[in-house]
Amino acid sequence: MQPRSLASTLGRFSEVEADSAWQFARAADFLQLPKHRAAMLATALEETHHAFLFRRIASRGGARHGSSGLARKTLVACAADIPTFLAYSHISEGLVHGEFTAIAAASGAPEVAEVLAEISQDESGHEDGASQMLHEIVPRATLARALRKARWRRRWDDWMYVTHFIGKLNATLWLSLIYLLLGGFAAPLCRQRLRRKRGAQQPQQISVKAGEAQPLPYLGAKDPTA
Amino acid sequence: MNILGISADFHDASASLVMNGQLICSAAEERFTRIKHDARFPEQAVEFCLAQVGLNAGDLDRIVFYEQPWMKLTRVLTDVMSRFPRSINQFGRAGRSWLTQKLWIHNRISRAYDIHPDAVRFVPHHESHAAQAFYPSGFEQSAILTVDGVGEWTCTGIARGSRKEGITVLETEEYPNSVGLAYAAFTAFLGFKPNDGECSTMALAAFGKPIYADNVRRVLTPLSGGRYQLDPGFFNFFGDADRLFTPAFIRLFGEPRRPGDPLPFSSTSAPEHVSADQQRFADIAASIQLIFEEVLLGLARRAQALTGLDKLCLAGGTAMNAVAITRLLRECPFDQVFVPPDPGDGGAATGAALLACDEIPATSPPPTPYLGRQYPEQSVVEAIQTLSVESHHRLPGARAWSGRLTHKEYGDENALVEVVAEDISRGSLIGWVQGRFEQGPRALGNRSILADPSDAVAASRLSRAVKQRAPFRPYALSLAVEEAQRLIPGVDLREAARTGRWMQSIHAVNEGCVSAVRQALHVDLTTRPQICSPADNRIFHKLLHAFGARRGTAALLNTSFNESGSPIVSSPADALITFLHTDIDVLVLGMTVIRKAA
Repeated sequence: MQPRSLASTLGRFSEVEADSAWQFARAADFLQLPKHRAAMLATALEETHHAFLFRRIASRGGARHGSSGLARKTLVACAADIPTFLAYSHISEGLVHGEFTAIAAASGAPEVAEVLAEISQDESGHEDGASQMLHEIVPRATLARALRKARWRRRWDDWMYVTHFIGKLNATLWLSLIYLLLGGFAAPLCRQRLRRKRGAQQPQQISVKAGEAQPLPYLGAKDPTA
Repeated sequence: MNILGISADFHDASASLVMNGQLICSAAEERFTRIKHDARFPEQAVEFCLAQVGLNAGDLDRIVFYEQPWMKLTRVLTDVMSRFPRSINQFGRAGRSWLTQKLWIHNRISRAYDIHPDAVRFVPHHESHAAQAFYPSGFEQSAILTVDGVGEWTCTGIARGSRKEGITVLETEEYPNSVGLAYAAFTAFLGFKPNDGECSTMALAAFGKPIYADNVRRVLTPLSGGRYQLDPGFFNFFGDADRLFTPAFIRLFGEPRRPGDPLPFSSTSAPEHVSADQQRFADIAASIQLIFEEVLLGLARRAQALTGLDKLCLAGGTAMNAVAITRLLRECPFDQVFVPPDPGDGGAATGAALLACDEIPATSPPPTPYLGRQYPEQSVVEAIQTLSVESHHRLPGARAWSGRLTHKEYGDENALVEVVAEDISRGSLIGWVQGRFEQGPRALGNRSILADPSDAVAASRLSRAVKQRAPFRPYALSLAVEEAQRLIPGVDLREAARTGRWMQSIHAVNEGCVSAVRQALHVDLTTRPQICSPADNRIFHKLLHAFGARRGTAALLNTSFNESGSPIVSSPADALITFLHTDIDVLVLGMTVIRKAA
């Protein structure tokens, strides 16, 4: 695995773990039993620590924080979301274990492999923990449904990741084309504008009173009052 | 009227809530996501702001974004296209982020909070900065100087603020003529991260002599009349963050420092050996610092000439440069200067919200930096319970601590501060978490790591095993207001109330007191103090006095409660993980003290 590519992957893991920590901490707010809340908080602490470990080795490889473009999701918005969240976390933590093992083997870096092995072991614990809590919280009748829903969510996330990559590639191609087509005409105008900005900066008088901030032209969002 | 201010999509995304013209709460997104300088839309910060006062999104009258994205896009496109055909990668990168996110901020806000599109407003970046400084200042009228990297096009703004007439922008310097970006480029040249490591450039400057000042003047020229001129041939502001300068810049200043290369300087001891290259970097830092101060001073004089007023408010990221602010205080023609606790882009969310108020009350309560979230006692109890969870849920980085932590809750503040002061005086490092977290990047006694400022061993342990901090960067000093006259000769307490409460300026320490606070001083025996009164932070003020009663000086070494590369802790859980992960000896969560057993 190329060091830059490895760093980028680890950077993405760091963001996923940080996001996961937040999801666990948030989920704790909706749990009733103190022992469940405490267990959830402990998992959140551990995920935060994983994010830190990933970030540390990723930044050594030159990865930039927050550069993966992953959208943050709200998995738990109310108490009713808890079963799906636990099922999701049970499935995800299990899958991530395999993913980490593969990356560790491909990385060729003992330091990375060591961190991944340590985290992998913890994730295995989270998988069991989520399963245990799921059985304690969710009635047997709805358990299968929660697991099914979580599996679909997982597949949807994977699909979104692929589409994100395709979209990025597509956008790069189109933007490069636009750049090459328009650049020759636009460049002299832009250079001229920058020179003008540099050369003739005249004092200006613009008055903004409190409350007079102007809205931008509306860009086509649904008007909630319509 | 409830107004939410938002800053996002560059760095330090934040949200602030203003109700009837009063700032109620403000927080940076990084405090919740744990990603330093998180630029993503501040979803969780907004959630906190609304929850703090029990509002729903539907109760908001306006949501104000701190800059005008369309204007900013014109600047980005103009800059990128002017470099055709070498800028194809930058075009692709910028195009993707604008097309997928930044351009649709209006829709995102409107949809996310189900608010009428007309209620979503956009204000110019530098006017957000102007408002964040002027409205909390309490001044009836003042000149306003805003200096940062770049907003839409504006890099520097001079304005007049008036409670009656609002904010009138008088003059601007536009991109690429930016003193802030020039400072960031020098920061990158010196091997620090731009938009983050400027404090390292400022700290390094103390070890050098400004022998490259003439070279710096060639690239950044202070002009007569207070303006300045940047030579764009030396800068590449649209390059990668670590290459904001051109080959011409390297020809003028030599090879840049590689990030991570050692610098032997220490704020508390003389270096054993300094190579010529290492000294060159310190000299370049001293040179850009000197020219930056000259530019800032020139701009302040110009602001005075344009407005004729005797008060100045200052904002923008460069207002974090405490050394330059101090020179400004000493030499500028204004009688009073105000710098808000978070003058950067995070605080601009506050400015945006204030700017959109129909009416700002004539009298406002004194500004406070304690505007973040306060976590309920219950979350402290749960964090402690977590320590005794007997299952496979082990604690991160703390497996060895299982069963080796003790905790005790104290009934009153006096007992608590006595115990903690005793610990500090015995050389312990204390993680101190109280009340609401601070707005901005400085820890001011609510999310702080504290130590005895005379204890070299504790300070060294703090640098090595907690902060992983370069030894040339000094720690700050928190001192009780009653101690200020003795520690800082000639300090004007009225002035300090505006520029010394939140570590905005630096001061030389009385020679006779140096040994008592040496570990919180820079190499030139100056410090960046937080002069704390009971009105600012009651329990922290008590702690300072409790420590003073033991060691003779009511002052503590104070640094932000975080590890290198992480944001300052916010929740008890964050504090716990940092405590367990580092060499901090004692963690104070509200009235509870947690110790690592021997």
